[in-house]
Amino acid sequence: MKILRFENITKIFNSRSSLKALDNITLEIESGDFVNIIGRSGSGKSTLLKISAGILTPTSGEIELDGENLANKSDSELSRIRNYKIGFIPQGASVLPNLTIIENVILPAILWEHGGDITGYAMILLEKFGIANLANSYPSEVSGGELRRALIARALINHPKIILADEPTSNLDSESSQNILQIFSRLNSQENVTLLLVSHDLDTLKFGKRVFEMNDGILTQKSVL
Amino acid sequence: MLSISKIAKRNIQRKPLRSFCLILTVMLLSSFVFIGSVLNVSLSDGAVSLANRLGADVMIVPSSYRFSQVEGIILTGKPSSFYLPDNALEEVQKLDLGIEKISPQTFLASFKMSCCSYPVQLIGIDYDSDFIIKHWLGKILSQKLREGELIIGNNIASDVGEYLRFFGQDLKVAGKLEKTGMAFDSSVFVDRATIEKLAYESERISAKRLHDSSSRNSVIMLKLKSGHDPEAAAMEINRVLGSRGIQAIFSKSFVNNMSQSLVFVSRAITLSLAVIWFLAVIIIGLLFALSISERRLEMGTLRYLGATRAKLTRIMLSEVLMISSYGAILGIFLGALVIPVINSRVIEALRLPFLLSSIQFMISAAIISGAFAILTGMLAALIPVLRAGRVEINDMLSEV
Repeated sequence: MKILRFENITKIFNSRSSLKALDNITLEIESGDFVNIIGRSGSGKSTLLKISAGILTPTSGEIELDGENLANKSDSELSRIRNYKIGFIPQGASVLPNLTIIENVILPAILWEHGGDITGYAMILLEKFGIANLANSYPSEVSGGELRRALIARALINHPKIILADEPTSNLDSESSQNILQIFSRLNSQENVTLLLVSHDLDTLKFGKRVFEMNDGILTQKSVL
Repeated sequence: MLSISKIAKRNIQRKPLRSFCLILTVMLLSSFVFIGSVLNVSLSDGAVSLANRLGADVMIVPSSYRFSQVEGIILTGKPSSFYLPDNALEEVQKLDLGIEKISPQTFLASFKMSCCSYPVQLIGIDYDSDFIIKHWLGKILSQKLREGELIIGNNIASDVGEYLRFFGQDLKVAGKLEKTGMAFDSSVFVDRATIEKLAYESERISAKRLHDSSSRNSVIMLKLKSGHDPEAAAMEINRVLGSRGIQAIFSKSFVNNMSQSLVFVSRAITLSLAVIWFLAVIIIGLLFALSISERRLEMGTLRYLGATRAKLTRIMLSEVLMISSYGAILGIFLGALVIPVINSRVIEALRLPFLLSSIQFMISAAIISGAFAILTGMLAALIPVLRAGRVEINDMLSEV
């Protein structure tokens, strides 16, 4: 079953000079897939991820998420799709600093009032990632690696169709990086979570079922595991 | 459990100094609106009360008293003993003025009394001819005021059934008036026979005559028949009897004169409120704009997690609503503490009748002032909040 489908996606940023960030990208991601896109900074991989999450709109081309075309969607519809179908992990420590770790994790479920034992499920996720003891800590009180694990828990809280992770290992030491990548790997292999990961970190090359390289907005497949 | 309001509450707690400044601004606005509205209405009620209670079209007083002195005695002035020349009442009655009712009053200032920290104004009324005071005394007295009895103003520290001693005479308190906002609050009312007796005792104790003449009339109140002009009547009295030491005052001139002062005070209050409102809007707007610009990344986070523009606006407005509500409630408490102090000082400072509004009005004023302050807070924050809601998610996240 197709979860994400790009067809001839081009993105041009119109600032002082037109910059083609994505050039005619076509890609399909099936349920349970683990796609890893590597590329240097400015190659267009984060743009691709943001277009996948409906944060940016493409200049041309078509994008479908779980059978829904993202073009011409209202703000409310795009917000619902982001909340229900996407687990987005942006670069850096994108959290609400005045909420505790557990509150940050359950935040997406609160925004659209998902029912059920949200806090219980959040605790299960935190336990799974070895940070249950930090549930009531504030983001400023935990390490970068711990916070990144909390962000993964947050991305999973609404049982999304796909996890989109932008540079999930940036600014982490090598041990924490490996730890995070192993979590992704386990989620994919053991729980069949669909993943699209972009990174400039070459250490991520050994993770993912399919690895692509992004270079000046052009996507090329490097390997299939 | 986490909720939108809890997120807003945490945001308030996160920056205590900024939140304090915002709450303080709304608090000051709310208290000023509350105090200002009560002050305005109390002064206005005081004026209405005065107009109603004066009741006469023309007042005749000794010509040695200037208008402002008479006004002072009637409104807020110190107790005085003053008397018209002999036969003033009879001479006025002879004039063809279209008099419907005419009644004299006697003013006598007491010595310092144990009941009060100041001398008391004793007012003797002619119960048979009176058409002003009897009317509202009647509301608290079922029968005619008898010799040896008195009615006390609201500020006099005594109760019905007790005795007060004036010039060596024990007089029984037959009733106590509601607050009038005028000098009547510190006055005592007796009948004609009692005031005569007290005046006699006053002269005996002080060994000094109150007045050269035998008249005990201080003021003569006139009510004219319908169709007769009070101003013309006052001018006629002054023309004919002015040389006899009598002057007539057109009663409405009190109210007119007072109205000018009221308009001035009311305008000053309104202007102050407008300035405070404007400053509050600017301060709240700027502080919120600053707060929002610092939290762009957090807003971007909420947006990519699924918050719609409307929900993001709701979260921010919840924060404004909470801050404004805290400020408004504190402002009303502050106002409630300040109003009693104003009540006791305002007559002194403004020399205007002040009738503190009813508790019902004050509750309504508190609710309206609070709502107004909350609305102002929301309005001031609306522009930065709406502007923030329009920012694209990618721009919010650009700091990442």
